[in-house]
Amino acid sequence: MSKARKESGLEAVNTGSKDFVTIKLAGQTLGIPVLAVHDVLNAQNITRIPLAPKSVAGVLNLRGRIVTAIDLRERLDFPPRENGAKSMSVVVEHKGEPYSLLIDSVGEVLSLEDGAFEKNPVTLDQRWREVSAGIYRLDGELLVVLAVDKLLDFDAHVAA
Amino acid sequence: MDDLLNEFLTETAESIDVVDVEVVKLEQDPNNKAVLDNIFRLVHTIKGTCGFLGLPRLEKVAHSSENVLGKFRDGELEVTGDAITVVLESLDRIKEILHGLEATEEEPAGDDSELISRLDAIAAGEKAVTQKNISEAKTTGKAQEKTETVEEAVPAPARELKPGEVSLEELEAVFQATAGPDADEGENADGTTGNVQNDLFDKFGGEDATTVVGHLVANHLDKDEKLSEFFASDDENVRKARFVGLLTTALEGDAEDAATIAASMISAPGFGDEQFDLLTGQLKAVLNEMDIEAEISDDVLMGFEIARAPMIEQSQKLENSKAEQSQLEAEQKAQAGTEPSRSSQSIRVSVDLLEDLMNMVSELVLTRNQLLQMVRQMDDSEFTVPLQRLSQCTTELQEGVMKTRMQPIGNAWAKLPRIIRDLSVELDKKIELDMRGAETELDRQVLELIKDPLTHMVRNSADHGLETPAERLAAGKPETGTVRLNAFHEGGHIIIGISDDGRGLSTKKLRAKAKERGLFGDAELEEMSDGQIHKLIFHAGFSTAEKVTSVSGRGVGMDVVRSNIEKIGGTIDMNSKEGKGTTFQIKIPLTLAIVSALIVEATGERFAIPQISVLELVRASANSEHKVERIKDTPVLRLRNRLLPLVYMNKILGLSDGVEEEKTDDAFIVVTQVGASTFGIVVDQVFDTEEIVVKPVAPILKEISVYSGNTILGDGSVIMILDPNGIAVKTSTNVTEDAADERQTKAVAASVQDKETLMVFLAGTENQKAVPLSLVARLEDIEVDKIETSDGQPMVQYRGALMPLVLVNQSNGFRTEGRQPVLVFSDNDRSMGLAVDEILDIVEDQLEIELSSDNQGMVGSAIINGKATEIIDVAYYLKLAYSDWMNSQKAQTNIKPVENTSVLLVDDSSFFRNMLKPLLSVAGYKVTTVNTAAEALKLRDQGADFDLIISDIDMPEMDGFEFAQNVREDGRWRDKPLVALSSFAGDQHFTRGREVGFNDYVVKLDRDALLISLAQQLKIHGDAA
Repeated sequence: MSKARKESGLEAVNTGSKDFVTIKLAGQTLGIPVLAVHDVLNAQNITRIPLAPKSVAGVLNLRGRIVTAIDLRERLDFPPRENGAKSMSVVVEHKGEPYSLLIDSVGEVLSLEDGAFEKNPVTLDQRWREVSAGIYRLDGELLVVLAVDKLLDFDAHVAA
Repeated sequence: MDDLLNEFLTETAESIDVVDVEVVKLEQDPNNKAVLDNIFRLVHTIKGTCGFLGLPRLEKVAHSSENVLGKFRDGELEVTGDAITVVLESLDRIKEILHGLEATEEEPAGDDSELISRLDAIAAGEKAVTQKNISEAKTTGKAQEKTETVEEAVPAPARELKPGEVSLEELEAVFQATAGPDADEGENADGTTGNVQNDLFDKFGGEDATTVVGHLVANHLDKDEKLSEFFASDDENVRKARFVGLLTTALEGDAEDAATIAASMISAPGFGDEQFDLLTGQLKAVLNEMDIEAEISDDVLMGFEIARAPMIEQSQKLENSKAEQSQLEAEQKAQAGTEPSRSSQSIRVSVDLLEDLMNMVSELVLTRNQLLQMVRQMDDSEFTVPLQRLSQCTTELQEGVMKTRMQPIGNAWAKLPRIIRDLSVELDKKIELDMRGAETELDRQVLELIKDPLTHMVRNSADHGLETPAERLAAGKPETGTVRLNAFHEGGHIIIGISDDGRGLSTKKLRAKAKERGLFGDAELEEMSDGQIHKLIFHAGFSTAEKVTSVSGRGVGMDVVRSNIEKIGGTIDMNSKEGKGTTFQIKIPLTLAIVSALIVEATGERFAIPQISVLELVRASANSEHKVERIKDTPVLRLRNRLLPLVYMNKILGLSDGVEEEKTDDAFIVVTQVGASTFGIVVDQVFDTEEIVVKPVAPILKEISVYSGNTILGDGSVIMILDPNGIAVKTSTNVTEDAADERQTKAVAASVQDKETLMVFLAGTENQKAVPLSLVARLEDIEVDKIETSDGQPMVQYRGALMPLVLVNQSNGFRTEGRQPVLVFSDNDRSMGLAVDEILDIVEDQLEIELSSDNQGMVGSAIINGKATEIIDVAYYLKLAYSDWMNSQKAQTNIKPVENTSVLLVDDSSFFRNMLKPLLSVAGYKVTTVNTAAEALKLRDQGADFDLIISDIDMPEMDGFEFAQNVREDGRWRDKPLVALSSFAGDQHFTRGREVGFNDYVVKLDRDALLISLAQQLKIHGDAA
């Protein structure tokens, strides 16, 4: 896990605080390091891709760039979004390719104290443990830090 | 990297490539001074720059090869193949060092002394011979002396660098000092040598008069046949300039320069005193014409005598040194020629920058399209006019940028002459490379991608395609084989043809090879057309050369070539005639960046299909002439008397479960070409075509073979680009290869006829099994509790009699409850039930037994409905049920044959061979099977003997009728009973069969009829004998 933390830029754990964009997905609060977020989008016109892996929702046009949309609910094993429910997306980059993560809503940007950080609990679901870089204790809820690189590293996922 | 070094590397790499080509050209045409001079100049430049940059190793190699080239140029060395080989080697070494330099920015360590000594040996080896000529010619002129100083300086290692340069510069100096009257005048006006003669020059009328006389004499010469041949080598203007120069120097009394010029003018041997007198006569006539005073005229003629000796001498030794004049001329060209002006009009731009530009322009085009679409929806927008301007500018910009990326295909061919040259030496063949359309331009990205496949193919043609000179002569062909490259534009594509006039592909060898490699079975190979067989070379691991040479046959084959070409959206086709040669045709798009695509819709989703692979669009509906028909569930379209296999886009993409497609007989069909095969893609809707910029798909989607990329359309939405190759592969592997050849062999109709109706079921294992439906009498569902056992054999009461039940798989029991499905096979009053697990389907399919089986009860395996299916051997189960089945039959019909009666079975269908052989064997015959009539006749000629021959009627190449005629005509089988076996059951067939000599005619699968017929024929025959 320590490797995962390094990759997601959390080696600076002891130096104070980190900023995260918080997102909501099926009631769960997730955080993405603010510097990793390129864009936050409202619902977009997404082109479906038949035969694509389930977690790929399709492709969309972001100012002339073709962005692959990842259905985060599918990726993280949540039930599918209800019909007509609003969605937003957060655009991140992985290995030079832009990806748009489909989520339910985006919250505020939080600056979180390192003191509130904890490693993944050992009992965490395997699928989650792969993509979580650790947990922050917030008031009344927990924030799971998404390890974007792991999340989008489909090869490794397939191999595992 | 140091900018200077970087530039040096790029430039030198380019120069070396040119030199490579030019050296090969030189070998073929050793007298081409222009080529030689070009080479010399390039190598000289390389050497010079190396010295400047401090690259001693490179410099030494360049210097030594320059030495040799210098000797070629001066005519002191003969251009021989061996010498050229060493020079090429030195070029390779230079390239090697350059690579090292590029990688490390330092000259790699290495010892070139061996190569250098060989180069020097070549330079020196010929010296003794040429030295003599030089001393002979010593008096003839300055230029000669200069070359000699070069000559002598060469062996002195300490001065290695200098001589070449000196030679070049001084030669030029000589030329400039002598050739132009302008230069002469100034120099000699101040000169002290010829004051007296200067008077003559002035008296004569100075520069003007000399020029006029020179021109006139030159003109006269042109008209005088006797003289013009000696002055033929120069073009008119040069010749005039020479005469003017000669006259000027002669009149000025500059003997040395006059001699040089005079010598340089003579281009052919045989110029003697007589000819010189003629020339003087011409001069005299001109002088007379100009009304020159007699005294001055005489003086001029006297002065002109100075040229006599050098001219005659020059002519005599011309074989050895006919180089001078053209050399000087070429020198002049090199110095004053096109080079400077060219460099000032072009600049070097890095490829990255161009790529970036291209990308930006692509984006611009997309945005423009988007804007256009938006404005189109608004009426009377104030944006319309400026947008039109923008649109136009964008289009022009796009074209402009595209042009910067265009390069002549000749660039990809640049290395080929060298390769062919090396090959011809290595393989000892005479090969001519004929390159046409080298100026045809295509995108540099595409160019890069086809470079290697092209090189490989040319190599193949030279290595495998062309025969050795001896073989060629024996085949009545010219000794020199030709490999021809031809490129031209056609539509938005570039077509590249690679052809050789070699031995062509041998279908026989290919067949043997395919068999040896186990790629196909015998039966399959036999049924393949020549075209199909030829295409086997595109199969992985296929090389036709019998021996692996160092050149080709290293396992990288045409399959790689083909996949590389297909990768860039191209197609490759081939045509070969044994003994005549092979032609490959490659068709590739001009550019990969922007393609025209057809936008289609399937189940509400839009997709783009590259226009390049779309042949046509067909609207099919139930009432029109084009309607979708079905063979069982397989949809096909009748299109101009051909059957076009169809695939449903929504089915391929998994958008529908395949149920609703049934109603879509009203459909748009995109007829697509993949490789040489065509198939139709059924879509719901077709929109217009659009120019799209292909963008690669995200890595996660790369695995999906049906997409080749994606793009943004004018309306801003993202669309996936379909890859017809991928679709073809996904649909079935059969489509790709077979469809095309079906078309060729017009076998479509026949193949429909050949289809067998099969009952497909499951029994025991997971694999589906099948049996010809014609053998099955009924299907029954028997209640499990009705199954009884008697004498250890499961039985069931069936229609008032006991019917034995047999399990397909003995280890698998009967069902324990419910009903047991049973296939009933009936014969006379006996029946047998074959218990199966589940009856799946009745399928009409072409039955190709792919693998024969050693397993009892199994005829073999075949692909049915795309699944591996075991074909069961009914005869085996019949025997299980009734050990006396066959016997009883025979008893009834009294057809038991005499022991060891031998039967020959001729049938192209492996299914029937496999079905009938056990059947006949069981019936007591000794069966031999062959799969073509030709093979059967071969057996006859080899002396094989049979009591009876059974032949299929419908066979490729030689059909049954023809075979029968053949048998009846003569040979040892003339009187053998002959039984026809056919699926054609019409009266006319019976009649025709009898006419050509069949004794009987039996419909296929009527087993009893066959056995009876056999027995009858044998009996008749026996009685007759």
